[in-house]
Amino acid sequence: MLVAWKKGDESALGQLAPLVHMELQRMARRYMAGERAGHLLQPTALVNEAYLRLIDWKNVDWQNRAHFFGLAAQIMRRILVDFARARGREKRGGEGIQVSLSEAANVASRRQSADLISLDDALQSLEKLNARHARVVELRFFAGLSLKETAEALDVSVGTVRRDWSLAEAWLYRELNADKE
Amino acid sequence: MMTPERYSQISRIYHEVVELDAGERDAFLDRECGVDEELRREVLSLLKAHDKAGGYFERPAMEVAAQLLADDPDATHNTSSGRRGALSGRRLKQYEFISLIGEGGMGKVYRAHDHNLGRDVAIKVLPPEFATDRDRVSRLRTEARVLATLNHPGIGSIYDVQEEDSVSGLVLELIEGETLAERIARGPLPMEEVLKIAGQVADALEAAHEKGVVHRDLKPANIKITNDGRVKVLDFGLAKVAKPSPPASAQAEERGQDFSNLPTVVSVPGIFGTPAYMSPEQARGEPVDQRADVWAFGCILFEMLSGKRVFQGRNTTEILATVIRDEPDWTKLVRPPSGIRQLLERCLQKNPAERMPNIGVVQAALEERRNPVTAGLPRWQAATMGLMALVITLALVYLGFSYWSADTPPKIPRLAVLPLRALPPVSPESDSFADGMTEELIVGLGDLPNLTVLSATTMMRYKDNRKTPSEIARELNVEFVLESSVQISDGKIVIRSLLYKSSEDRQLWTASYEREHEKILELQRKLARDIAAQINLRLTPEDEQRLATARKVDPVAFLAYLDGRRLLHTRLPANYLTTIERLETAIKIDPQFGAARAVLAETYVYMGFAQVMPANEAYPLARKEAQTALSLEPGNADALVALARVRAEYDRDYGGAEADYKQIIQKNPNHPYVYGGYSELLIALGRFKEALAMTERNRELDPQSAESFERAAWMNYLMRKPKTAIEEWKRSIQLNPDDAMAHDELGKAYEQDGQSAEAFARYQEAAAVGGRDDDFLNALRRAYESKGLQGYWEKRLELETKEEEEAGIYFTYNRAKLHARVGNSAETLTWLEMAASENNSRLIFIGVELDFEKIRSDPRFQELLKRARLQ
Repeated sequence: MLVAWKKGDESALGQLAPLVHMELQRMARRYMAGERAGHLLQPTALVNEAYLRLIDWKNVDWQNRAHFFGLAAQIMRRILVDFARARGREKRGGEGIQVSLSEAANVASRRQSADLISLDDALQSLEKLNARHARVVELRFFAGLSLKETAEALDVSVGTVRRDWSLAEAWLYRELNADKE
Repeated sequence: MMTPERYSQISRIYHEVVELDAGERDAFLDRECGVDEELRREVLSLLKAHDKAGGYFERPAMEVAAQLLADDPDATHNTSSGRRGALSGRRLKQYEFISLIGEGGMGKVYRAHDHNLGRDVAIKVLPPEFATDRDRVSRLRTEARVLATLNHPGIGSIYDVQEEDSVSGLVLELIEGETLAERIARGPLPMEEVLKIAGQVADALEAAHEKGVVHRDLKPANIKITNDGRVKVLDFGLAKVAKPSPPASAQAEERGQDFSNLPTVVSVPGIFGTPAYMSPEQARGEPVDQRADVWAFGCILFEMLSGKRVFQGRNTTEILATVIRDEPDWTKLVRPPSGIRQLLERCLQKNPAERMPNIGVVQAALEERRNPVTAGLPRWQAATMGLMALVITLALVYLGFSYWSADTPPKIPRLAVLPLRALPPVSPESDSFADGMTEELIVGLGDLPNLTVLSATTMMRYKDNRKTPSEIARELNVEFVLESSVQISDGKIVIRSLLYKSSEDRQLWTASYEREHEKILELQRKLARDIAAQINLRLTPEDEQRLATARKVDPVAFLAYLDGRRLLHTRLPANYLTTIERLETAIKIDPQFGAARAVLAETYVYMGFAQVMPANEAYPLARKEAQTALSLEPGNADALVALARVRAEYDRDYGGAEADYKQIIQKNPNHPYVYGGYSELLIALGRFKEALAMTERNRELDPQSAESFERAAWMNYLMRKPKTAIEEWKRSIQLNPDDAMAHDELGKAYEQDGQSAEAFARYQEAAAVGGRDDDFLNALRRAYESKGLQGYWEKRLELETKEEEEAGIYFTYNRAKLHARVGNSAETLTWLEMAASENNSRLIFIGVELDFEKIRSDPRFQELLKRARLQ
């Protein structure tokens, strides 16, 4: 079966990028209107949307779907990190890449959010140590997949994903907050 | 230095430790790490991080990024406190921003006051974060230029473009009133209002499409209804301008409305538009054309009638999936008039190739609906109907409405009959028998009531194909596919058939028939009866009777007849003589063979119409054969069509012919050849919208026939819609690339559009396809290069005249047209008069041909119109 995204992730990126940017705009506006995060279109839905566009989804088997999600997660990561980087550059006249994140207006608990750019760097180091752990983070955090979906995309058990996630999360947290310790 | 091996070691210990209670951890770590203090520290710090990290990644990256945007004070000027908007109170030149009145992904719209002219306007501004985005800015400029060319009462006008350092905006006509979305929110609209609004929207779209502009984001929120009931289509911000054709030569730049110097609007593949109104091709990110607007129009029409969106879902993904996958829920429409329901079905075809090809056709269908009585009458009759007629009209409209309020008529199923496969022993004879039998089956099944059977022209394209019935069903949008094989041996014919039902994705039924050769008609009718039973068609007693009786036929005569019929419908002039030979053979063997005589009559009509045989020989022969056929086989549709054509094209009894056509359509709505003749008559009478509607019906039966595209193309050309005409010609050429005439006409459409170079290229292509030699082509090229198209036409007239004189054949009507192109009025008239004296069938078109407009007021031309009974 010939599907568009097999031709390479550049075209898939082209498909996904405008979707993501439009959705970001929409989400940002809702944040400002004080809406809760739960009402927002989730990244999975975006990936699904891109997926629908790229392939005749009736004819797709699970293998390809899994492959697609893997690819889409990587693309989401690139788009979002580029986005954060571009905004950072605008704000700081091109010098810094650290972007401070203020607390989400709508989040009641004082939860920290990951800094996308530092996270991307840390993830690159993690990739070299254990590629699957990095994939799990990509699928969960960037593409918004559930544990089960992540397991299917990687063709491993849910237990494995949970364990990978637990360690990767701890690892990345430690890397990102090393200077605060 | 951290290595993968080290990481994996840490990982293993970490996972085990995590599972342990706090009390057991130390002992475990002592055991596992031993003296490797470093390892121990790693694991411990990770455990600590794990406890703190809870929820660190809980918010997906998307939300984090969106938050970035939301927290950025410069990113948007929208304040949560209200709709005043950041620019309110500010001034841009003479414009003072008053309030924010609307907002979309592409920009915000403010009400502003123009202090110079003392009026309120609407100003659409780019969001500041995009003010420096070259893509957005160029899209805004494109919108401005698109609007500037679209001067139509149904489209909001543009007054001005403003560009200052930080603010770029369009100054637009301020349209007060509610949007269609707001109107629909109050509930479904009454039928009259729906027709009124739909008609105006279609009108505006038609104007845009004719300029090569596709809206791409048509939705109720982009349609405004003014307080006095006028409709305005807004927001061309996503509009796409058709790309100019490749060789943009010097001539092309002279055109006033050329968009070739604009950037292409779609720089990112994909996803523009609003999901609920997005066509399936748009949703898939495929390129779109005007048919995407036709789709959106269908969605809007549905929504006006039902008060509900056709395609719904909880989120974009779900909506898009519905758009791509699901049929509209027709039960949401409370008793729609049948015509409207059909119109909706044609607009909401998932496959753009199956959809109403352009909004003009939709317009025609709406008009028919709005004007149920007058639409069927010639213009002059309609005009003289007077008051009495008005009363009748109202009564009929009333009756029409009460008819509509009856239950929705069930959907008429569509059946595709695949070409029969000849099984061994295969001979050229069995192959042509299989083809002929295919057509015969199609015609026979086409007589069944309440069933649409796709025509043979379309189906023969599936000969020798390897597609599965389900693929074919999808491609042709049919509910049923009949696949059959035929085997001829020892005087017997065996036909095996399989009926596939697409909605259940299964073989509904299979059967095998064996008959003596001479009982082939009996076999055909039995098959038709069985299929009717399988599809649950209710047959009238007359149908039952007709299908129960079948005369015996001589196998050789039958084969000759099938052959002749098939050859005729290839519509290649070169085949006409063979056709006649085959049919005469059939009639010689079996003089009572009415069907063969009917096809012979049709052949003569075609020959007269194509000027292959002089009209005053061809048409009388056609009449004689048709009448004999009808005496042998009353009600034979082929014979009836032939007679109607004789009436229109030779007797010039237009009213009588129209009545004939209507009667045939009523009795045989599936007979594809009736629509061709009728459309041509309507064109001759200048009733283009009705002709388009007929062509459209033809296209439903015969989606792959070049003929209906040709006719639609020609009509658009006559209506001076070159862009649409070009598209239709291209499609017709795709289906029938060897048709020199189509290339030639495509050239004329380009010429009408002002694209000289492209026009010349097509003329040359036509000549090449038509088998002209290099000398001919070169002579024309030199003429064109030195004197442009005028030179070209002069040369062509000269060459064709010489050719005809050498051959001693005169195509009078064509010669008149050539002279008209060159500008020789006197010669044009002379040749037209010669055409009239031979009663040339083409004379029925002189009232609408654009070539003759210049000489229209000449008394000689007026006399010609009288002779052609067009005045």
